Amino acid sequence: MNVAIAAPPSAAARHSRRRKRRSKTALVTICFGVGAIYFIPLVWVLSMSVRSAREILEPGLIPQSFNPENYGDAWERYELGKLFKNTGIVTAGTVLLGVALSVTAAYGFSLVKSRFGEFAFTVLLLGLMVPPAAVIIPFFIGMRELGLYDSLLAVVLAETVFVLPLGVLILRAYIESIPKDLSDAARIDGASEWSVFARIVFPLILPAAATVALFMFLSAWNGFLLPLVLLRDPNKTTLTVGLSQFSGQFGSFEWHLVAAASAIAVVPVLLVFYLARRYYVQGLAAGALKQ
Amino acid sequence: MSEIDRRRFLRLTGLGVAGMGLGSGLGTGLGRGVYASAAPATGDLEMWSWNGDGTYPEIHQAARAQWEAADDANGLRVTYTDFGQYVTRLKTVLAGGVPPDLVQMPWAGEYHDIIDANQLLALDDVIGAGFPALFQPIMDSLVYNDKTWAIPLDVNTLTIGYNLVAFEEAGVEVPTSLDELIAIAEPLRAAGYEPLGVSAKDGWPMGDLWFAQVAYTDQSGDAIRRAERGEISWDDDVFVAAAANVEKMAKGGLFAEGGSANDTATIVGQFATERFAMMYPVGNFLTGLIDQTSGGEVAYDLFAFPSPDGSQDSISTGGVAEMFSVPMNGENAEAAIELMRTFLSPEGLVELVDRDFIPATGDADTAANDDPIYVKMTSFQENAQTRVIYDPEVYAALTNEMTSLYNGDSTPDDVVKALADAAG
Amino acid sequence: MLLFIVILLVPVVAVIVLGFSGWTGFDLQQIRWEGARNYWELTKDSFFLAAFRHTVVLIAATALLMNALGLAAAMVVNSRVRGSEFLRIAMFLPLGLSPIITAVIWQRMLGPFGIVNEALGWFGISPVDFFGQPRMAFIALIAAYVWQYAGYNMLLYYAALQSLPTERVEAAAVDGASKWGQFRHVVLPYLRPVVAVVVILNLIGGWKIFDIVYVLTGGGPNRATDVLATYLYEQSFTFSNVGYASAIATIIIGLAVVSSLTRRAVAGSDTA
Repeated sequence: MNVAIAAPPSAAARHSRRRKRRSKTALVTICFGVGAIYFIPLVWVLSMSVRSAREILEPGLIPQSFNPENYGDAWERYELGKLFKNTGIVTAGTVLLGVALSVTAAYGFSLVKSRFGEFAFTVLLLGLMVPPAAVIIPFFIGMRELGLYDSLLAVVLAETVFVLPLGVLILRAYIESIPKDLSDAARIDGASEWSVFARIVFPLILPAAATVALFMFLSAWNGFLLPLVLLRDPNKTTLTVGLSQFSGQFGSFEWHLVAAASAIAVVPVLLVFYLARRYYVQGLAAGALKQ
Repeated sequence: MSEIDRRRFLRLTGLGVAGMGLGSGLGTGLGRGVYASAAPATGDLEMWSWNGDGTYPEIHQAARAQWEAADDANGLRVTYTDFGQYVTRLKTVLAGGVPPDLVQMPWAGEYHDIIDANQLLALDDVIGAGFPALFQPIMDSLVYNDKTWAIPLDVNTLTIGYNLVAFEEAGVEVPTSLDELIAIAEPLRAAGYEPLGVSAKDGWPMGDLWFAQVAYTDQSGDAIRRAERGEISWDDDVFVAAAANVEKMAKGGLFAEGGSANDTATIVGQFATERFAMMYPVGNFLTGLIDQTSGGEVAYDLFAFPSPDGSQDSISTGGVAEMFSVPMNGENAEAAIELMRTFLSPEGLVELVDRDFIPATGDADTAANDDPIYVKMTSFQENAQTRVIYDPEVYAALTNEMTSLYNGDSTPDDVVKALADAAG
Repeated sequence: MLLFIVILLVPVVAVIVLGFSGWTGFDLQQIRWEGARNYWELTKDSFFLAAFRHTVVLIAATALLMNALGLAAAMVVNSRVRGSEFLRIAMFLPLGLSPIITAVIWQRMLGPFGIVNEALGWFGISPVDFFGQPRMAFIALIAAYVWQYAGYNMLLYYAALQSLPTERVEAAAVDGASKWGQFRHVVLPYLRPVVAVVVILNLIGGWKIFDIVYVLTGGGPNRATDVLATYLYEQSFTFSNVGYASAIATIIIGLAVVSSLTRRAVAGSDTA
C-alpha cells in the first residue's frame, strides 16, 4: 500500500520524526561507545606490540616508542610461519569435516522423528557437555591405539568430535524454523530427498552454515588442550599452544613480542570474518517464503 | 545401527582393548632388561624440560653438543613445555606409555605420585658409576620408598634481592631481624619505592615465604619431614610461628602493591625497572632474567630473610633446581643415564658454574665464577633449608592459605589447620 | 557419522566408568573398582561444594549478561545505523583471541597500575584489588568472560534476525503496531527457538568453563573462584586422582544434561 507523500508533515509527524532522530543518535552513540570499550583491550595489545622491552610495564595505552620490528622479531623467534601452517591445516580439516558432517547430520535429524532419532541426538549433545580436561587421557590412549598419536590428523579428528554437536544443534534449529510447506511442495512435485536438500534447504541455511563454519574455525584455531596433549613433535605445534609457551610464567619479559605474535595470530580470524561477512549481508530469497 | 557398523564398532573396541593390554605389557618388558652393556650406551634421545627460558637452554645445548660429539649415533632433541602445562603433558604421556627418554622431574608432589605409579626407573645402581659425588642432603631428599629416582643437576638458594641505590636513597641498611625488615618499609616508600615485591598470584612464592620462616622457627631442621611422616602434627607451634611471622610482615606494610595481581615475571619487571626496592624469591633461576630485563642497569645484591630476633646468622631456603628422571617405559634408558653423565661431566660442571648455576656436587669448582651475586648465592647453599612439601594436597593447602594470609583473609591458625586437614 | 558417535561415546563412557574407580591415571593395570565411593566423598568435599556454588553463580551471571547484551547488540546491529558495523566487529573480535591472551590482558588491565584502576581514580575511587579479594576476582572473571564470548551470542541472534522475513515486520507495522509491539509479536516469537538454543548453549558450556578461569585467577585467591572444571583439572593432573576427577566430570556432564532438558521449557512445545 502506498502512502501519499504529497501532504505536508503535521506537527505530530514532525515530533515523531524528531524522536526517531533522537533515538537514532542514541543508538549510534551506543554503537560507538560500547564498541570503543570493547576495543580497549585489543588496542592495548596493539600498543604492547610496538613497545620496546623496557616499556612493557608502563600503564596506559599509548606507547612511547614505535618498534614495528617487533613483528619481524616475533615471527622469527617464535617460528610463526610453522605454527601458522600447522594451525591452518588443523583448522581447515576441522571446518571442512565438521561442516560437511553437521549439515548432513542436521538435515538427517530433522527428518527423523522417531524416538531413536531423539536419543541419538541427545547422545550427540553429550559431546557439548563433556569437560575436555576429563577426557584427555582416554583420548590420548585412543589416538595412540589408532596409531595417530603425534599427528595433525589426530587433532583434526578430536577437534571435529568436540565441534560437531554445536554445529548439528544450531543447524537443526535453523532447518526446523524453515516452513515445511516449501519442502513439502517440492516433494509433491516429485523432487528426491537429496534434491530437496540441495536446492531448497541448503541455500536457506547458508547463513547459519556460515556461522557454524565460523565457530568451528574459531574453536579449531584457538584449540589448546587437544593439540597440547596429542602433539609432541615441536614441528607440529599449533599457534595457541605455542603462544602459551611464550607467555608462560617468565614469558612476560617479552610481552611486546608475545603481543605482536598475538596480533599476527588474529589476522586470519579477521580475514575469515571479512569473507564470511558476505553471507550475513546477503539476504534470503525472501520472496520464496511469501504465502 | 546397521550390521556393518556394529561389526566395525566391535572390532575397533576389541582392537583398542587388546592394544592397550599389549602396549602396556610390551612397554614394561622393554623397560626392564637394560643394564647389561659395558661400553657407554648411545642413542638418539628425546628430553623434556620446562626451563625453556633464561640460560638453562644454553646448558642443555652445551650438553647436547658434547653428547653428539661423543658418538655418531648420538642425538638429542629437547622439548620445552611451559611449566603450567608440563605436568599435564608429562602425566598424559606417561599414561599413554610412550614417554621421552629423559624427563625433568617436578620435585614436590608429582615426584612421589609418579613413583607410586611405577613410572620411573630406580637409579641407585647407577649413581655410583660415572657421576660426581652429589650433595648428600640433596640425595637424601630424593629418596622415596628407600630408593632414589632422580638425579639432580643443580641446586639453588632463595634470597631477597635488594636494590642498592634504593637502600642508599632511603638511608637504610640490610636488616638483621624481622622487626628491622618491617621497619625499612616506610623509609623505602618515602623514597618512592615499593618495599618487597612477592607474587601472590603464582601460589608458590607464598609457600616460600612460609618456608623461609620455618627455617628459623624450626631449630631441628626436619620438622616438615617429621610432619610428613605423621610424627608431629601440622598444627605444631613451629609452623604456626612461621605463619605468624609472615602475617606480621603483611600487617606491617612490608609487601608491595599488586602482589595479588602480578605474576613472578611482572614482579621481576617491577624490580628491574626500580619500582620495587626488594623482591623475593630470587635465585639463579631469576638473576639472569633480572639482568636481561634491566639491561644490566640495576645494581642489586642479595640477603636472606633475617632471623626473627636477630640472634643468629641468616640462612635461606634452597633445594633442587633441575633434576631428571628416566621413565620406566622409555626406549633407551641406558643412553639416557649416559646423557645425564654428560650433563654432570667436568665440562658440564664448568658450563653450569659459568652461567651462575650451582651444580649439585661438591666436585664443581664454583670459585671459578667470582661474580659477587653468585658468590653470595653459593654461600647460602650449605645451610639451605627445605622448601618442599611432598604431599601435593598439603602443598596446595599451604600455598592457598598463605595467599589468603597475605591478603589479610586468613590467620596463622587457619593456615596450619588447612595443612592438617589436607594431610588427614 | 556413526564413527564419530563411537569416538565420542567411548571417552564419555570411559569417564563415567572411571568415576567409579580409584585410578591414579598411569598404569592401566592399576584401575580398581571402587563403587560409588568417589561420589560419596564428593558430597563431603567442601572444596567440591564450593566449586559447585561458584560455577552456578558464574553461569547465572554470565548467561544473563551475555544474552541481554548479545540480543540487544544484535538488534542494534540489525538496525544498520551508523557505527553498527563498528560494534559488530568490536564484539566479535574477542572471540578470535585465545583465552590465554584474554586472561593476560585482563590481568594487566585490572592490576593495580592498570587502566581500570586508573579510570576509577578519575572518579575518586581508590584502587580495587581485583585478584586478592574473592568477590572482586569473581567480577573480574565475569567481565573477562562476557567480553570474550558475548559476541558469540550476538552473532547467533544476528544471524537469526537476518533470516527473519522482513515482510512480517512490515506487515505488523502497517497494521499499526508500535516498535515495541512489533518486537513482541513478530520478532520475539520468531526468535524463541533461537533464544532457547543460545541459552542452553550458554548453560551447557558454562558447566565446563575452564580456560579463562584457569588462566585469569587460577581458581584463586585461595579457591575463591574455583569452578568445577578447574577443580577437576587439579584433581586429575596435580593430585593424580583421576578416578575422583572422573566422578566430577560425570557430575558436570549430568548437570549439563539436566540443563539441556530445560530446553523443552524455554522453547515450548513447538519443536519436536
